Amino acid sequence: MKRPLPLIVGVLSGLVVLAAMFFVPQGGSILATVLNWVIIVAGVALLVAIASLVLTHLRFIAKGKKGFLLSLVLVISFLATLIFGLLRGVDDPVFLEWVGAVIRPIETALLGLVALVMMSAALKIFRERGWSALTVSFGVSAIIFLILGLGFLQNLNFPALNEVITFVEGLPMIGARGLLIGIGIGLLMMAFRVLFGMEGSGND
Amino acid sequence: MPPDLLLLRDQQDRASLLASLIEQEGRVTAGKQPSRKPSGRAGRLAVALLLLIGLIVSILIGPAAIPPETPKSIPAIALSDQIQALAENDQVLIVLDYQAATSRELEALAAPLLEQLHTRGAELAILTTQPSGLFLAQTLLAQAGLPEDTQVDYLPGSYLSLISQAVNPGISTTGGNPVKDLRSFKLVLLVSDSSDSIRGWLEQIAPWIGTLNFAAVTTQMEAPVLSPYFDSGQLVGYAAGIADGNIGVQSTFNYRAYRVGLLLMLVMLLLGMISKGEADAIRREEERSE
Amino acid sequence: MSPSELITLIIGIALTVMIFSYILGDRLFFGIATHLLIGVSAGFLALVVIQKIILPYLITPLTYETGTGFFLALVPLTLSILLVLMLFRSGTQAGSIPLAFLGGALAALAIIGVTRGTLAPQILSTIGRFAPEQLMHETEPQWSAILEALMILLGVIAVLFVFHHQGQSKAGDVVKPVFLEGIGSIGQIFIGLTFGALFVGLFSSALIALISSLSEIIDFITLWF
Repeated sequence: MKRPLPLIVGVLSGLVVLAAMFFVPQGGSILATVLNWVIIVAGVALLVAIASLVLTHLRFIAKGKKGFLLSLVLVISFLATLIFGLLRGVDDPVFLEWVGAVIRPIETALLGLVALVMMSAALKIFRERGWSALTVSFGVSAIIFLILGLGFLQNLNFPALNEVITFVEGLPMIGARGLLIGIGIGLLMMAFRVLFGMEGSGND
Repeated sequence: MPPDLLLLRDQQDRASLLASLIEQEGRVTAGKQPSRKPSGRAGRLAVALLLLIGLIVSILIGPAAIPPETPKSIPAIALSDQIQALAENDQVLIVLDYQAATSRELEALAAPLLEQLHTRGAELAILTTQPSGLFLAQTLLAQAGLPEDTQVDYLPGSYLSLISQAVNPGISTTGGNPVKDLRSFKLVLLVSDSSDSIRGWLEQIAPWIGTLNFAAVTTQMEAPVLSPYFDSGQLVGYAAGIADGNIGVQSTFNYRAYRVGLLLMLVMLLLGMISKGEADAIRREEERSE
Repeated sequence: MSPSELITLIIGIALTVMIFSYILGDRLFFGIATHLLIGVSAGFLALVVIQKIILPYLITPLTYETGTGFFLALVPLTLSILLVLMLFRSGTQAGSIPLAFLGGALAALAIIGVTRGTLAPQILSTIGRFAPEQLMHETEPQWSAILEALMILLGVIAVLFVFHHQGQSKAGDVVKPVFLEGIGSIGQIFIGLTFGALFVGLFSSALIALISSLSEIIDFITLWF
């Protein structure tokens, strides 16, 4: 059973935003106010999520759970960043340089690691998924785009070949458009369900 | 793919969508697949080492820039034309919306465009919608040769902060919103590693301001999702991928290593297909003999 | 190279190597690096949210002694307090009110945005390819344009059919006519083509990141020789 208050708040906030967007420009100032609240509440939700994460790891440390050393690394790095940032200010170039010095190489290396994992996945994908219209077209498309990515064909500079390449490069657009429309319709249905109080938007 | 490697935004969604569609398809037409033991760690290690060795050797051979004659894609040419069409003092809004992981790829694409815009005398307003943009912008500005003191403002809530202004130009912005008049811009250049985010701008801001042109600089993985928006004219152009960043000058990026990587992936995919074909042939042979 | 640049470079190289140790099956150094990333990112994110959102958007209006600004700021303040109560077990239910507020507002934005920004333009663009000025040049039909328009229309319909087909097959195995199976297969081919391009795109982005990381390590090593 859904509780009435969150349901009413969800439906009301949605209807106010819808009304403000329909009655333009009069609804503009109401929309500005509500969206400001959205930004604030989303920001606070993010802070709550961060606090929850840190508290969970503090509990791991207190209980001496397996892997608590990693939790210690997380909590210490969190506190060090927070204190350093509070002392220097979030726009301080030295602070930003140090934060970047940690985040940038780790994130880049993690994305690099994805390339290594994809290599072994490529070897296994057909063995594990079998042949079907989807997997065959996926494989053929991947092979063609890898060949195009090498750039040798484009550098040959044959006008007829270039036309074929342009045609082939345009093919994923068709599937992408179908997917976008399909996802858009799904999103629309979901949004209407939220607005009509049929779907939980925090009310369950 | 191990879940701890899928930390990046969108990757998890895309991977699960791909996996579920392939799995669904397998159920409908491919019949039951024989259960197989997961291949050993040694195999994965060998494949990873093969790629690593290939790349390291390519890098050690020496620098290799992309050939200057490599043609750009049609959307990238359209973006270039849009920039050429800008007059001096035209205002351009640059929105930085990417994470550190994709910064190398996007900086290589965006820096030459920013430099071009600066040289043409366009007035640039630079915003970041990601907190990480506060430190990533420093590198981008340095690569583009823009003054060190160029202002980069954080835009909380991304396009949500600008919707009311787009709906009604008379609305005064509140809080720390750095954009005072959205309609004064000729072009909005979204430098983003997320097609969802670009789609958000096109859905929430673009329909309200018909005169405002939107263009994007994005990673190659997001380009297919953006292509319908270029085809429909909602995006006036976009640059994605190594070739689109080619401006005919020596780049620090090693193009030889990139080609070796693509070539190895090509070999792996072909090997995967051949081994599957061979396994099927053996199975058929066994079924026939039975 | 200044000492601070050298230190940040060494830190970067060490962290990159720690991440790559995953290949050799190491979990400790990989774990340390990823937890460091989460800790620093969370700390930085918290700072940015406090200084760039909470202070200017929530706290500053509350310092106004009178006026609508002050009263309007009481609404997000109340919602924020309810959210903070979520941190404590007894407050979990109270937190659903601000989340419902967010869900409702974002759903309304999605309805307008998706309709005007994706569905209408994408459908119109597909249909617009059949406009006479697109298909005819003076009095001559442009066969390539006609075929392209038909292919795009067929592809989009077939992909949408796959969506529908998926929903139905989840509900139970339904036997379909050969014609519908054929459309489904065409849709799967177009989806496969798109996923193939996405796969190469993701690999390409990952490869660029890998080459950048390796180049930095190699440059660092060659610094000393």
